[in-house]
Amino acid sequence: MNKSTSMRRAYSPVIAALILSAVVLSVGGAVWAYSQGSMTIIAEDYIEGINELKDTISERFTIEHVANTSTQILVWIYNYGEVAIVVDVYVDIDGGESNSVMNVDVGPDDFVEVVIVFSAIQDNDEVAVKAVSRRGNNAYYRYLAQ
Amino acid sequence: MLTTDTSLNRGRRGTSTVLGTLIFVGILFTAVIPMFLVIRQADTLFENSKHELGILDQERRDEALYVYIYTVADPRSLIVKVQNKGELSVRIVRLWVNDEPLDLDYIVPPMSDIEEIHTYPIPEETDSYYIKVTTDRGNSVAFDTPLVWDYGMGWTSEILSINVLITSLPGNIFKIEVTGPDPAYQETLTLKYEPKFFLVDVEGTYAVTIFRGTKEIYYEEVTINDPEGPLVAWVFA
Repeated sequence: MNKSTSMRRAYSPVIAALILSAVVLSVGGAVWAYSQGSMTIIAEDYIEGINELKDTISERFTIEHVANTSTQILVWIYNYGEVAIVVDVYVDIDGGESNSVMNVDVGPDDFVEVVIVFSAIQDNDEVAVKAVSRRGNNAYYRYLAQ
Repeated sequence: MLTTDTSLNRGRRGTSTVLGTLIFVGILFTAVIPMFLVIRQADTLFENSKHELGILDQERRDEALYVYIYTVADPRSLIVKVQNKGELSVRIVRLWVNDEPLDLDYIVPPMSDIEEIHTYPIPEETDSYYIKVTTDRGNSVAFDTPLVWDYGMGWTSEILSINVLITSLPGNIFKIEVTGPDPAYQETLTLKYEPKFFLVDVEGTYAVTIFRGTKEIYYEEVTINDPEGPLVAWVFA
Protein backbone atom coordinates (compact mmCIF):
# COMPACT_ATOMS: atom_id res chain seq x y z
CA MET A 1 0.00 0.00 0.00
CA ASN A 2 2.75 2.34 0.98
CA LYS A 3 4.80 1.34 -2.04
CA SER A 4 2.00 1.96 -4.50
CA THR A 5 1.25 5.33 -2.89
CA SER A 6 4.90 6.46 -3.15
CA MET A 7 5.01 5.39 -6.83
CA ARG A 8 1.87 7.38 -7.57
CA ARG A 9 3.30 10.38 -5.83
CA ALA A 10 6.44 10.32 -8.02
CA TYR A 11 4.59 11.32 -11.22
CA SER A 12 3.55 14.81 -10.26
CA PRO A 13 7.09 16.14 -9.48
CA VAL A 14 8.29 14.73 -12.78
CA ILE A 15 5.43 16.35 -14.63
CA ALA A 16 6.00 19.56 -12.71
CA ALA A 17 9.68 19.52 -13.64
CA LEU A 18 8.81 18.87 -17.27
CA ILE A 19 6.27 21.69 -17.28
CA LEU A 20 8.75 24.02 -15.57
CA SER A 21 11.45 23.13 -18.06
CA ALA A 22 9.04 23.62 -20.94
CA VAL A 23 8.05 27.02 -19.57
CA VAL A 24 11.70 28.00 -19.06
CA LEU A 25 12.57 26.83 -22.56
CA SER A 26 9.66 28.58 -24.23
CA VAL A 27 10.01 31.83 -22.29
CA GLY A 28 13.81 31.69 -22.56
CA GLY A 29 13.60 30.95 -26.28
CA ALA A 30 11.26 33.89 -26.78
CA VAL A 31 13.54 36.18 -24.78
CA TRP A 32 16.53 34.87 -26.74
CA ALA A 33 14.80 35.51 -30.08
CA TYR A 34 13.65 38.96 -28.96
CA SER A 35 17.13 39.80 -27.68
CA GLN A 36 18.77 38.76 -30.91
CA GLY A 37 16.28 40.74 -32.96
CA SER A 38 16.52 43.85 -30.84
CA MET A 39 20.32 43.69 -30.57
CA THR A 40 20.55 43.33 -34.35
CA ILE A 41 18.28 46.33 -34.81
CA ILE A 42 20.25 48.36 -32.26
CA ALA A 43 23.55 47.46 -33.96
CA GLU A 44 22.18 48.26 -37.44
CA ASP A 45 20.80 51.61 -36.23
CA TYR A 46 24.11 52.44 -34.62
CA ILE A 47 26.05 51.54 -37.78
CA GLU A 48 23.64 53.57 -39.88
CA GLY A 49 24.10 56.53 -37.56
CA ILE A 50 27.86 56.14 -37.69
CA ASN A 51 27.78 55.98 -41.50
CA GLU A 52 25.67 59.13 -41.67
CA LEU A 53 28.05 60.88 -39.29
CA LYS A 54 30.99 59.67 -41.37
CA ASP A 55 29.38 61.07 -44.53
CA THR A 56 28.77 64.35 -42.71
CA ILE A 57 32.36 64.77 -41.64
CA SER A 58 33.60 63.52 -45.02
CA GLU A 59 31.87 66.27 -46.97
CA ARG A 60 34.38 68.57 -48.61
CA PHE A 61 33.16 71.28 -50.94
CA THR A 62 34.02 74.83 -51.78
CA ILE A 63 32.63 77.76 -53.69
CA GLU A 64 35.33 77.81 -56.30
CA HIS A 65 34.35 80.86 -58.31
CA VAL A 66 31.65 83.51 -58.53
CA ALA A 67 30.86 85.75 -61.48
CA ASN A 68 27.99 87.93 -62.57
CA THR A 69 26.10 89.35 -65.50
CA SER A 70 23.69 92.26 -65.28
CA THR A 71 20.91 89.99 -63.97
CA GLN A 72 22.60 86.78 -62.86
CA ILE A 73 25.03 85.61 -60.23
CA LEU A 74 26.95 82.53 -61.36
CA VAL A 75 28.32 80.28 -58.64
CA TRP A 76 30.61 77.31 -59.26
CA ILE A 77 30.68 74.68 -56.54
CA TYR A 78 33.42 72.06 -56.41
CA ASN A 79 32.92 68.86 -54.40
CA TYR A 80 36.45 67.61 -53.73
CA GLY A 81 35.30 65.04 -51.18
CA GLU A 82 34.38 61.41 -51.58
CA VAL A 83 30.64 61.63 -50.88
CA ALA A 84 27.89 63.08 -53.02
CA ILE A 85 26.26 66.21 -51.64
CA VAL A 86 23.05 68.16 -52.07
CA VAL A 87 23.45 71.88 -51.50
CA ASP A 88 21.23 74.92 -51.24
CA VAL A 89 22.83 78.12 -52.52
CA TYR A 90 21.85 81.45 -50.97
CA VAL A 91 22.93 84.75 -52.50
CA ASP A 92 22.47 88.07 -50.78
CA ILE A 93 23.29 91.40 -52.41
CA ASP A 94 24.22 93.86 -49.68
CA GLY A 95 21.36 96.36 -49.37
CA GLY A 96 19.48 94.67 -52.18
CA GLU A 97 17.79 91.47 -53.17
CA SER A 98 18.27 87.94 -51.87
CA ASN A 99 17.64 84.77 -53.79
CA SER A 100 18.43 81.08 -53.58
CA VAL A 101 18.59 77.85 -55.52
CA MET A 102 17.77 74.62 -53.71
CA ASN A 103 18.65 70.96 -54.18
CA VAL A 104 21.78 71.19 -56.27
CA ASP A 105 23.32 67.72 -56.63
CA VAL A 106 27.10 67.63 -56.73
CA GLY A 107 28.74 64.22 -57.07
CA PRO A 108 32.17 63.33 -55.70
CA ASP A 109 34.96 65.15 -57.55
CA ASP A 110 32.27 67.02 -59.49
CA PHE A 111 31.95 70.67 -60.32
CA VAL A 112 28.66 72.42 -61.07
CA GLU A 113 27.56 75.88 -62.10
CA VAL A 114 24.55 77.39 -60.36
CA VAL A 115 22.74 80.39 -61.84
CA ILE A 116 20.79 82.71 -59.54
CA VAL A 117 18.63 85.32 -61.20
CA PHE A 118 18.12 88.86 -59.91
CA SER A 119 16.25 91.83 -61.31
CA ALA A 120 19.43 93.95 -61.58
CA ILE A 121 23.02 93.79 -60.42
CA GLN A 122 25.09 96.95 -60.27
CA ASP A 123 28.87 97.28 -60.48
CA ASN A 124 30.53 97.09 -57.04
CA ASP A 125 27.50 95.49 -55.41
CA GLU A 126 28.78 93.43 -52.50
CA VAL A 127 27.51 89.88 -52.83
CA ALA A 128 27.52 87.26 -50.09
CA VAL A 129 27.22 83.67 -51.27
CA LYS A 130 26.54 80.78 -48.94
CA ALA A 131 26.23 77.12 -49.86
CA VAL A 132 24.66 74.86 -47.25
CA SER A 133 24.70 71.11 -47.64
CA ARG A 134 21.79 68.98 -46.51
CA ARG A 135 24.09 67.45 -43.91
CA GLY A 136 24.64 70.89 -42.41
CA ASN A 137 28.08 71.91 -43.72
CA ASN A 138 28.65 75.41 -45.09
CA ALA A 139 30.87 77.26 -47.53
CA TYR A 140 31.01 81.06 -47.86
CA TYR A 141 32.25 83.47 -50.50
CA ARG A 142 32.20 87.26 -50.69
CA TYR A 143 32.29 88.87 -54.06
CA LEU A 144 32.27 92.32 -55.59
CA ALA A 145 30.07 92.52 -58.68
CA GLN A 146 31.77 93.77 -61.84
CA MET B 1 11.89 7.65 2.02
CA LEU B 2 11.85 11.30 2.96
CA THR B 3 15.53 11.61 1.97
CA THR B 4 14.87 10.08 -1.44
CA ASP B 5 12.00 12.52 -2.07
CA THR B 6 14.11 15.54 -1.17
CA SER B 7 16.95 14.57 -3.51
CA LEU B 8 14.50 13.95 -6.34
CA ASN B 9 12.91 17.40 -5.85
CA ARG B 10 16.27 19.14 -5.78
CA GLY B 11 17.32 17.44 -9.01
CA ARG B 12 14.19 18.46 -10.85
CA ARG B 13 14.33 22.05 -9.63
CA GLY B 14 17.93 22.20 -10.90
CA THR B 15 16.97 21.31 -14.47
CA SER B 16 15.03 24.51 -15.10
CA THR B 17 17.69 26.57 -13.33
CA VAL B 18 20.39 25.07 -15.54
CA LEU B 19 18.24 25.66 -18.62
CA GLY B 20 17.62 29.26 -17.56
CA THR B 21 21.33 29.82 -17.01
CA LEU B 22 22.14 28.26 -20.38
CA ILE B 23 19.63 30.53 -22.10
CA PHE B 24 21.05 33.58 -20.32
CA VAL B 25 24.59 32.64 -21.34
CA GLY B 26 23.34 31.93 -24.85
CA ILE B 27 21.74 35.38 -25.08
CA LEU B 28 24.92 36.93 -23.75
CA PHE B 29 27.15 35.23 -26.29
CA THR B 30 24.89 35.31 -29.34
CA ALA B 31 23.23 38.71 -29.01
CA VAL B 32 24.80 41.10 -26.52
CA ILE B 33 28.50 40.46 -27.04
CA PRO B 34 28.25 40.40 -30.89
CA MET B 35 26.34 43.69 -30.72
CA PHE B 36 29.07 45.29 -28.63
CA LEU B 37 31.72 43.93 -30.99
CA VAL B 38 29.91 45.32 -34.04
CA ILE B 39 29.47 48.71 -32.35
CA ARG B 40 33.13 48.71 -31.36
CA GLN B 41 34.16 47.89 -34.92
CA ALA B 42 31.96 50.70 -36.29
CA ASP B 43 33.56 53.10 -33.80
CA THR B 44 37.02 51.99 -34.88
CA LEU B 45 36.18 52.49 -38.57
CA PHE B 46 34.77 55.94 -37.78
CA GLU B 47 37.91 56.92 -35.89
CA ASN B 48 40.02 55.69 -38.82
CA SER B 49 37.96 57.81 -41.22
CA LYS B 50 38.36 60.85 -38.97
CA HIS B 51 42.09 60.31 -38.85
CA GLU B 52 42.32 59.97 -42.65
CA LEU B 53 40.22 63.11 -43.15
CA GLY B 54 42.46 64.96 -40.72
CA ILE B 55 45.47 63.97 -42.81
CA LEU B 56 43.74 65.12 -46.01
CA ASP B 57 42.88 68.48 -44.41
CA GLN B 58 46.46 68.88 -43.26
CA GLU B 59 47.68 68.08 -46.78
CA ARG B 60 45.29 70.69 -48.13
CA ARG B 61 46.73 73.30 -45.77
CA ASP B 62 50.29 72.30 -46.68
CA GLU B 63 49.88 72.82 -50.41
CA ALA B 64 52.29 75.51 -51.57
CA LEU B 65 51.54 76.16 -55.21
CA TYR B 66 52.48 79.38 -57.02
CA VAL B 67 51.13 80.51 -60.35
CA TYR B 68 53.01 82.68 -62.80
CA ILE B 69 51.69 84.07 -66.03
CA TYR B 70 53.94 84.92 -68.94
CA THR B 71 52.61 86.79 -71.88
CA VAL B 72 53.30 86.36 -75.56
CA ALA B 73 52.29 89.02 -78.05
CA ASP B 74 52.50 86.97 -81.23
CA PRO B 75 50.53 84.77 -81.28
CA ARG B 76 48.60 86.56 -78.62
CA SER B 77 48.50 84.20 -75.69
CA LEU B 78 49.07 83.59 -72.01
CA ILE B 79 51.55 80.99 -70.83
CA VAL B 80 50.55 79.59 -67.46
CA LYS B 81 53.40 78.28 -65.33
CA VAL B 82 53.30 76.85 -61.83
CA GLN B 83 55.78 76.00 -59.13
CA ASN B 84 55.12 73.60 -56.26
CA LYS B 85 57.22 74.61 -53.25
CA GLY B 86 55.49 72.16 -50.94
CA GLU B 87 56.38 68.64 -49.87
CA LEU B 88 53.38 67.00 -51.56
CA SER B 89 52.60 66.56 -55.21
CA VAL B 90 49.72 68.72 -56.40
CA ARG B 91 47.16 67.78 -59.04
CA ILE B 92 45.74 70.74 -60.94
CA VAL B 93 42.19 70.05 -62.11
CA ARG B 94 41.13 73.39 -63.51
CA LEU B 95 42.43 76.62 -64.97
CA TRP B 96 40.33 79.77 -64.80
CA VAL B 97 40.83 82.57 -67.28
CA ASN B 98 38.50 85.28 -66.04
CA ASP B 99 35.16 83.46 -65.67
CA GLU B 100 35.89 80.62 -68.03
CA PRO B 101 36.87 77.25 -66.51
CA LEU B 102 39.12 74.93 -68.43
CA ASP B 103 39.57 71.33 -67.30
CA LEU B 104 43.15 70.22 -66.76
CA ASP B 105 44.79 67.15 -65.30
CA TYR B 106 48.36 68.08 -64.47
CA ILE B 107 50.41 66.76 -61.57
CA VAL B 108 53.14 69.01 -60.23
CA PRO B 109 55.82 67.11 -58.28
CA PRO B 110 56.92 68.40 -54.88
CA MET B 111 59.71 71.01 -54.69
CA SER B 112 59.47 71.50 -58.44
CA ASP B 113 60.97 74.08 -60.73
CA ILE B 114 58.67 76.44 -62.59
CA GLU B 115 56.75 74.29 -65.08
CA GLU B 116 54.61 75.32 -68.00
CA ILE B 117 51.17 73.75 -67.79
CA HIS B 118 49.15 75.49 -70.44
CA THR B 119 49.16 78.01 -73.27
CA TYR B 120 45.96 79.94 -73.57
CA PRO B 121 45.18 81.74 -76.83
CA ILE B 122 43.49 85.05 -76.18
CA PRO B 123 40.52 86.13 -78.26
CA GLU B 124 40.70 89.64 -79.62
CA GLU B 125 37.67 91.00 -77.84
CA THR B 126 38.89 90.42 -74.28
CA ASP B 127 41.12 92.94 -72.62
CA SER B 128 41.75 92.13 -68.99
CA TYR B 129 42.74 88.74 -67.52
CA TYR B 130 42.43 87.17 -64.13
CA ILE B 131 44.09 83.75 -63.85
CA LYS B 132 43.47 81.09 -61.24
CA VAL B 133 44.12 77.36 -60.91
CA THR B 134 42.25 74.86 -58.75
CA THR B 135 43.78 71.75 -57.22
CA ASP B 136 42.06 68.46 -56.47
CA ARG B 137 42.36 69.21 -52.75
CA GLY B 138 40.04 72.18 -53.28
CA ASN B 139 42.58 75.00 -53.11
CA SER B 140 42.41 77.85 -55.60
CA VAL B 141 45.58 79.77 -56.34
CA ALA B 142 45.35 83.02 -58.26
CA PHE B 143 47.93 84.94 -60.15
CA ASP B 144 47.19 88.15 -58.35
CA THR B 145 48.47 90.64 -60.87
CA PRO B 146 45.77 91.47 -63.42
CA LEU B 147 47.07 91.42 -66.97
CA VAL B 148 45.90 93.86 -69.57
CA TRP B 149 46.32 93.76 -73.31
CA ASP B 150 47.11 97.23 -74.60
CA TYR B 151 46.72 97.64 -78.35
CA GLY B 152 49.63 100.05 -78.53
CA MET B 153 52.02 98.48 -76.01
CA GLY B 154 51.07 94.80 -76.06
CA TRP B 155 50.85 93.03 -72.73
CA THR B 156 51.05 95.18 -69.65
CA SER B 157 50.34 94.69 -66.01
CA GLU B 158 48.62 97.08 -63.68
CA ILE B 159 51.14 96.46 -60.91
CA LEU B 160 54.64 95.16 -60.39
CA SER B 161 55.34 93.80 -56.96
CA ILE B 162 57.97 92.26 -54.71
CA ASN B 163 56.39 89.93 -52.18
CA VAL B 164 58.32 88.85 -49.10
CA LEU B 165 57.39 85.98 -46.79
CA ILE B 166 59.53 85.05 -43.79
CA THR B 167 59.07 81.48 -42.59
CA SER B 168 62.42 80.03 -41.61
CA LEU B 169 64.52 82.87 -40.18
CA PRO B 170 64.88 82.83 -36.39
CA GLY B 171 62.88 85.48 -34.56
CA ASN B 172 59.36 86.95 -34.70
CA ILE B 173 59.62 90.61 -35.70
CA PHE B 174 61.69 91.72 -38.67
CA LYS B 175 62.38 94.82 -40.69
CA ILE B 176 62.42 94.52 -44.47
CA GLU B 177 64.21 97.04 -46.69
CA VAL B 178 63.80 97.14 -50.46
CA THR B 179 66.10 99.25 -52.59
CA GLY B 180 66.21 99.49 -56.34
CA PRO B 181 65.45 101.58 -59.39
CA ASP B 182 62.05 102.71 -58.22
CA PRO B 183 61.30 103.72 -55.61
CA ALA B 184 64.73 104.32 -54.18
CA TYR B 185 63.86 102.95 -50.76
CA GLN B 186 60.95 101.18 -49.00
CA GLU B 187 60.92 99.65 -45.56
CA THR B 188 58.39 98.00 -43.30
CA LEU B 189 58.13 95.89 -40.18
CA THR B 190 56.69 92.41 -40.45
CA LEU B 191 55.94 89.34 -38.41
CA LYS B 192 56.94 85.79 -39.21
CA TYR B 193 54.50 84.13 -41.66
CA GLU B 194 53.01 87.53 -42.57
CA PRO B 195 53.47 88.27 -46.29
CA LYS B 196 54.47 91.81 -47.22
CA PHE B 197 54.00 93.38 -50.64
CA PHE B 198 56.16 96.17 -52.09
CA LEU B 199 54.64 97.78 -55.16
CA VAL B 200 57.08 99.26 -57.66
CA ASP B 201 56.58 101.09 -60.91
CA VAL B 202 59.47 100.03 -63.10
CA GLU B 203 61.13 96.75 -63.94
CA GLY B 204 64.65 96.06 -62.79
CA THR B 205 66.72 94.46 -60.06
CA TYR B 206 65.82 95.20 -56.45
CA ALA B 207 67.71 94.33 -53.28
CA VAL B 208 65.73 92.88 -50.41
CA THR B 209 67.41 93.03 -47.00
CA ILE B 210 65.92 91.61 -43.81
CA PHE B 211 66.98 92.78 -40.35
CA ARG B 212 66.28 91.41 -36.92
CA GLY B 213 66.77 94.42 -34.66
CA THR B 214 69.70 96.19 -36.25
CA LYS B 215 71.41 93.03 -37.44
CA GLU B 216 71.19 92.11 -41.11
CA ILE B 217 70.23 88.44 -41.36
CA TYR B 218 69.16 87.99 -44.99
CA TYR B 219 69.91 89.53 -48.37
CA GLU B 220 68.57 88.68 -51.81
CA GLU B 221 68.38 90.38 -55.18
CA VAL B 222 65.28 89.88 -57.29
CA THR B 223 64.55 90.94 -60.82
CA ILE B 224 61.23 92.05 -62.15
CA ASN B 225 61.42 91.72 -65.86
CA ASP B 226 58.28 92.55 -67.75
CA PRO B 227 57.30 91.06 -70.20
CA GLU B 228 59.93 88.29 -70.31
CA GLY B 229 60.05 87.46 -66.63
CA PRO B 230 57.69 87.49 -63.68
CA LEU B 231 55.75 90.63 -62.83
CA VAL B 232 55.67 89.57 -59.21
CA ALA B 233 58.90 88.47 -57.55
CA TRP B 234 58.72 86.40 -54.38
CA VAL B 235 61.36 86.31 -51.65
CA PHE B 236 61.13 83.41 -49.22
CA ALA B 237 63.40 83.77 -46.22
